[in-house]
Amino acid sequence: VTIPDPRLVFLFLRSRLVGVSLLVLTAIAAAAGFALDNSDNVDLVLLLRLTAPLAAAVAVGATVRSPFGEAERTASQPLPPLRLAHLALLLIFGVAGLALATFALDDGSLGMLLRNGAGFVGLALIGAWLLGTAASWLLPLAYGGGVFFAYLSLPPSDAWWRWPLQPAGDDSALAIALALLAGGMAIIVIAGARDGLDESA
Amino acid sequence: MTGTGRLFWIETRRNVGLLAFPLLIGLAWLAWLIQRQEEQHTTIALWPQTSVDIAFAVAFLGPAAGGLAAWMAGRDRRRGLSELLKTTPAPATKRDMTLLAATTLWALLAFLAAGAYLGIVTAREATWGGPAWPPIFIAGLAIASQAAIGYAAGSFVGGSVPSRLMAGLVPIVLFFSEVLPGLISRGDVPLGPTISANSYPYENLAPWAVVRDIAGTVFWEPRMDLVWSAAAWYVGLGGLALATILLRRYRTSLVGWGTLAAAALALVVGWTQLVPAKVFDVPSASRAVAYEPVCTQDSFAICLHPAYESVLDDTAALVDAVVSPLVGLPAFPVRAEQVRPVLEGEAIDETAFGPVEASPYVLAIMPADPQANDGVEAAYIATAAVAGQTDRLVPMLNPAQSAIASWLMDQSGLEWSTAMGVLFPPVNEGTPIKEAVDSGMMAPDEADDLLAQIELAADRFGALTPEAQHAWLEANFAALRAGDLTLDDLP
Repeated sequence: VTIPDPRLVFLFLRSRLVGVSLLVLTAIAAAAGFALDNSDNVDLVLLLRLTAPLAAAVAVGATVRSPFGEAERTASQPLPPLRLAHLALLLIFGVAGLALATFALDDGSLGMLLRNGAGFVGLALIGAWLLGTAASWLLPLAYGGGVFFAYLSLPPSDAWWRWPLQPAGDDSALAIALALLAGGMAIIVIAGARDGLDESA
Repeated sequence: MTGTGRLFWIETRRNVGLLAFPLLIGLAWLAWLIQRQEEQHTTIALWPQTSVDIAFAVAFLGPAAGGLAAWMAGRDRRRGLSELLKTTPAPATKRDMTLLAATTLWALLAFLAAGAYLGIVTAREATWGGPAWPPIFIAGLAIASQAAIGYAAGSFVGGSVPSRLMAGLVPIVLFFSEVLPGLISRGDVPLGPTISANSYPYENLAPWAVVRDIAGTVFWEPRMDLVWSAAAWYVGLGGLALATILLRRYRTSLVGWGTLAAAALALVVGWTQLVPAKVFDVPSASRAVAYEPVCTQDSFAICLHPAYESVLDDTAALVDAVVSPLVGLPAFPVRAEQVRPVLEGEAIDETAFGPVEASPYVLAIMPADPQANDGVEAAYIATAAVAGQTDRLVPMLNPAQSAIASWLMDQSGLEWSTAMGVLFPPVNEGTPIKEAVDSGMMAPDEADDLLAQIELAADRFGALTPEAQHAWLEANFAALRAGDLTLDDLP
């Protein structure tokens, strides 16, 4: 495996407009920290712990598209290390942003935000591969929205599919989220995102 | 075909909504799946319930329509066509409105297509009534207004990635915004002497919540007061978005400012009528639905609303099994009937409140739900039979009533081990016995002792001959029902 030229890495990240993504991730983390700090309603706190990572995941999923399409795949430089570096940068930045924004909270918010962020990023990346980056938000929104409405409609339960609502210390919920993240990252790093809806409309 | 018509046709064919159509149908199906899991959702085909199921798709289709519209709003900029399109004779706002209309059309078509499936299933199974259109209309309006909001948001961003990000973030923000009003609670509101419910004053601003309140029931017509208020709210939101789209292009447009003013007015009107949302409502007599009950005669007459005709035989079997030893006794009702609830609202649990303004000659019952536990449903009937009904369909029992209700359940031959809690007498004027033990209000030994005494009394009564049981009931049932007897008064 050759180590990519730093200039190539820089250009790759620039082609994914990583600057805008980092700005959006910062805004999401700041908004989440402020809102969580000022909320004492249990349901609202839970909604924030679900939607903030959802928004961060959407920001990650939307930026994995290649602006060069097929032409980029013909390059001699292997793309997977570059894609991995791009995703790793966004994830590290997201984790750091959320940790900073919620450092004053000791109610388990950070654990849930990070866990849900991991799971939803995984779903967004899978969505980017299945549906294209333009619709990558559909999968995490449908899942997160479905789980939250189920929380509003059904009695509390620790069913595995409700992993985004489980407490921060729930090991199986964490395992599911990490598995989704690993799956999503593996797919995007190896295969890249599809254009999907982007091409037609 | 006019130029506008041709442009609309092109935008409709070349629209992301066409490609996303199956995904939108999937989202509607997901919403329906969640809605039908709701606690008060029955498996019996009822038109008001189906109408809410159809309308509930707005919970997902609204944000999704917003996301798709935001995506389409950035299309020309992503394709680098902005400059080229400036040379066309048609005004830019015309292109905006046509594109927004085409995108909204696909979202609404998906909404209607998914709803049509539910409608066909219900039409095949329902025994009474027809669709309640107001919740479906409001849901459609909410989807259209969210699409307009998404388009307005999407039209503000420039560049490829920001437009991509906006298309993803708009649905999340719309989802958050539509859920939030349903979560803001303002404490408990008393519903009766022993019951209270949480108040959510802003929930009518959430489309998925207001459609539930609008639909009415098989007993009451849809709430038209809420329909017009909700319509004003969503027209206002949509109008605000359209005005934003117009004014972005033409800052001095009179039409734009006029739309903005009209939208603001509609929002104020909608807000003042929708907030605060009532925890429950006392329906006006003018909304009462006229119907002829369907009845069957076993040991006595058992009647249901015609919408529940499919479960009449099951209900009759359940009622008959439990109350047959009581039929003909003085002070026992002469017929069982599903009566019209006097209150409505999500907080009104049908087992707790409402249909008790029946005459003392009527035992108010609920239809048997095929998915519900027979033992629990029978326990409700036994409870009502021995204690009468005042402010609750399922009243609270004293220990003597609990013992006779337990005997009624035993002699019915039904499996009711999971329903025992229904028959436990409350302590301290209304606290369920389990709750009293958990909170330390009552010692566990004391509770066990009381329940053991009740069980012994029920067994003793069950050991009597049928003639002796009937003779005792003949002499004491009125006093038992009035709550005047204790365990020591039982044979």
